[in-house]
Amino acid sequence: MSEDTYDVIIVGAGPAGLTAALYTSRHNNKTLVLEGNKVGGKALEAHWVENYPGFPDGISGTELMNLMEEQAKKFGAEIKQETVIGISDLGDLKMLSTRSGGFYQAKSLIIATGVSRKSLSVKGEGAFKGRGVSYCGVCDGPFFREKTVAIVGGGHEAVHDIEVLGETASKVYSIPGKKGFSEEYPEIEHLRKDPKVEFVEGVDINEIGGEDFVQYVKLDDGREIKLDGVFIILEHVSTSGILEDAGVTTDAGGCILSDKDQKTNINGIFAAGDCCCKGLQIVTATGMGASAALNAMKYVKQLARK
Amino acid sequence: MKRIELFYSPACPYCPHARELLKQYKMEHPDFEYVEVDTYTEEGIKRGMSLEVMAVPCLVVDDVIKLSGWPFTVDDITQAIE
Repeated sequence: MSEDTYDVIIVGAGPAGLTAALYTSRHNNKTLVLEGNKVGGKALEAHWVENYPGFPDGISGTELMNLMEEQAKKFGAEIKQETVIGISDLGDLKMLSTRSGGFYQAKSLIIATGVSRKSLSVKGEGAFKGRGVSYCGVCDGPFFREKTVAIVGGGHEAVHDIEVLGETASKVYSIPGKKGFSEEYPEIEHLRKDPKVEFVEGVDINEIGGEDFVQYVKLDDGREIKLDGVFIILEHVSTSGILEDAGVTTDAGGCILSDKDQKTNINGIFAAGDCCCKGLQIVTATGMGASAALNAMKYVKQLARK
Repeated sequence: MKRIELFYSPACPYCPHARELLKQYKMEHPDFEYVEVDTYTEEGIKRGMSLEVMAVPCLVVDDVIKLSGWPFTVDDITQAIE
């Protein structure tokens, strides 16, 4: 292996990736973090984080992620802003290529790419973007005060946005789609008792329509719901195509399948954070990042003994 | 002189990027009035709703919505303002 070979390359610099980088670099493992978007990941969207241990008064998502980045760098982790477009497993060596022409090799990989927003891809979605179609409840919710909205999606963030919009809108329809809610979220039981919230389940949206602004959605069972806003809060794992090329097993939704040690089906490739679709919390992501790092380091040590 | 308003929210992950693009544009084109409006303030949300703003970031030129919701590029901004 060449001197340029990293002990660990981490794909993704959200809470899971940065925690993994902190652990591996602190143990003198040569560590590179590759991030195609902003360092900090989706946690940057959190206006105020009140449930991350150690911050009793809360902390902004941006500040928390800046601190995580600083801590990982302090121990020597390199962080590069490059989008990974290919991963190859050559047994003891893993190879990665990036969109900007970068080429890297590592003894082990930790995939921590998180989830990204997905469009609904129905008639009217594009035409009404910014005119009633939104992708961020906390960003655009204030414009829908005393109005009727629908939250489309069955993930944790969609459930969170039902609560957020429920505070200001006059009526909130929850339309999780035919796949339903991805988990038994405890908030749902409470929301079912809220007279402002109506659950429309077992159906998908066919069309978003209106004149200048959104006025209705059409469902695939023929019903039409009159409303003012549609919040599309769908998530998906962003790198499932690349993972497929590398042979990493995912479930039907693109979530990476990993065991209790964050190992994937490929030796030396680990996964952590939201891309494993377990928890979708900053604290669960950091836990998985630490576990993946500890097991990746164990794997690198075993390779050296070969 | 044209009046440009950028509506943003502190909760919006794309808004800092939009604000940065506008600041750069303003440096190169100082000949318009530029105002940033925080939609998390009572005044800001009222102003936004009066113009029928429904998503942030939102670029309004002389009271007309030109760009609504992310993403938008430097070219989009140029086209919207000129």
